[in-house]
Amino acid sequence: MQVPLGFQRIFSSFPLHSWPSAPESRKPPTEPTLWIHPSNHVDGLSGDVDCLKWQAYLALRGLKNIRVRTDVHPQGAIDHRLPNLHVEGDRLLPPHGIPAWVDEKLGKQKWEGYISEAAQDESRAWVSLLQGHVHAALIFAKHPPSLKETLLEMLSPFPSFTPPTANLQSTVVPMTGFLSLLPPIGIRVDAESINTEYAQAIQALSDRLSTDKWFLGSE
Amino acid sequence: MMASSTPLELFVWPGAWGLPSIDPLCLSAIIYLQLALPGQFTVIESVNPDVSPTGQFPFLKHGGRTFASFSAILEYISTLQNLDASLDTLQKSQQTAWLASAESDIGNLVSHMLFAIDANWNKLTHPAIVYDFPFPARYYSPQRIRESWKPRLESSGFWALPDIEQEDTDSKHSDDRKQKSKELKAQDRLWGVKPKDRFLRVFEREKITERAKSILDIFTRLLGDSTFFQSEQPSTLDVVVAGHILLLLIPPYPDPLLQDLLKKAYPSLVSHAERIHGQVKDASLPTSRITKRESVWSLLPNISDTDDAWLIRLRWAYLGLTIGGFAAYATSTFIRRR
Repeated sequence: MQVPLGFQRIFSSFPLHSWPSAPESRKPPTEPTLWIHPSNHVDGLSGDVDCLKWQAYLALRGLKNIRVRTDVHPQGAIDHRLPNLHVEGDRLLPPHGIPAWVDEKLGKQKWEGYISEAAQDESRAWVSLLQGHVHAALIFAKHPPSLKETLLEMLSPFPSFTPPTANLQSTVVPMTGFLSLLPPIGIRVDAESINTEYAQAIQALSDRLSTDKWFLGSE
Repeated sequence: MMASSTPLELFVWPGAWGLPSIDPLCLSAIIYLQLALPGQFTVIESVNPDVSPTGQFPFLKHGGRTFASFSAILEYISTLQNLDASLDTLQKSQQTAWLASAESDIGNLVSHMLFAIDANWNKLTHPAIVYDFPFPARYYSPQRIRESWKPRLESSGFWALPDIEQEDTDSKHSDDRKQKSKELKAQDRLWGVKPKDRFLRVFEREKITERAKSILDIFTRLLGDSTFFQSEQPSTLDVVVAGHILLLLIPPYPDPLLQDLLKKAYPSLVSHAERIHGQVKDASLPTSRITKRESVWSLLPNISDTDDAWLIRLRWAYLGLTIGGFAAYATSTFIRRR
């Protein structure tokens, strides 16, 4: 079945304009490059908690010559989340792949530098607390729910990628509810519980650190 | 001592498989109340978390007050009866961290088993809850609840690919193995799984097992040879860990990936969970269920009372958009007809 002549004439006028081909992709980096959210500060530290955490991790592990990129949108990152680490061999690592790469480079530290296995285990618990309750409060303070953003999302026919507020609690609770006939729109966040849990977490951190210089007796 | 004569009402997800709730935090809250205030509370089962101020279960009502997060519930109950009275400041601070780890890390394992593995969702979790939902919510709400876990499990690496059944290499009969192999190939064709993808999915299962081991190893070392985690009596940490482990241990999972791992390699955690469960399982548990008379209202967006100014503004904005849009459509139709 052929396309009718009238349609052929219309289609023949397309493309209306051809753009030049995109430049070739950059060569793989010669040095490891950490993709992070940008910051307003000139010191190169990211304004995002997760990115800043991994910048600190790489610095405290003693790694040098780590470049930083701030021009990558999260949608271009693995699982749409920054930071990512671009390393030799053109490999791109998600955040949970960074410690293994660092161990490859530097050799594995016994108990990751903690004074004992029990301290290393306890550090996992504190990391869970920080990445949960404290991180949620920081995101909430930085990205409070916006009436404009939620209304735009309600009206938009296209789903957006997971907003930062999706990490505020254990599950994503839609504003319209689970049982309503309306499709799930927006994210319902309870500010009071986030702030209460944050206060408890900070109190616990303070009690645990007490008069020590570093957590868990580290040097 | 009870601060009010009105009973405590704990709203939770319904129970199944011999457990009073299918949610680990709800189960932990029930066990905590059974240890702290036995016989002084009522469990109210519901499948409508929209009635909660946070949109999640559990939440507690007592004396006109509502406590809507798990930590808020524990904090309030501890003012009535404190399971952690014997802990010192250091232990309490450590407990805060360990509780966060149990809820987050072991919680990921439980959620992976209940929601992420297709065989478990289709044959266990979904059938356990779907008929509790009113019509027509039963056709979309369970899937929405499953999807609500996806961001957390994806970010932690526990949102798995569709499960694949392992070939039964223990079978001594070659006919059984051939039959099983045929079934697996039929399943792959149904799911569009290519042979190389099947290999990748086996690899994914191994990765998840390794990550589960690293989490369970930590709690095993923490428990050591002790009866309870932090003292001679069960503390909040014992209750929360047991609540999560019981939901890995007891449900009859069609795909028992992490259940088998737990039973084979972590007998101390299994014994600990059974010990805590044994202290409460024979106690009477007054339970009621929210009736389906609420079913019509539950189909509308949640309009329960709230002090959240942000939520109130959003509702008015949504209502305004709806009425404004309808008015604009009606006006334009009227003008065109004239």
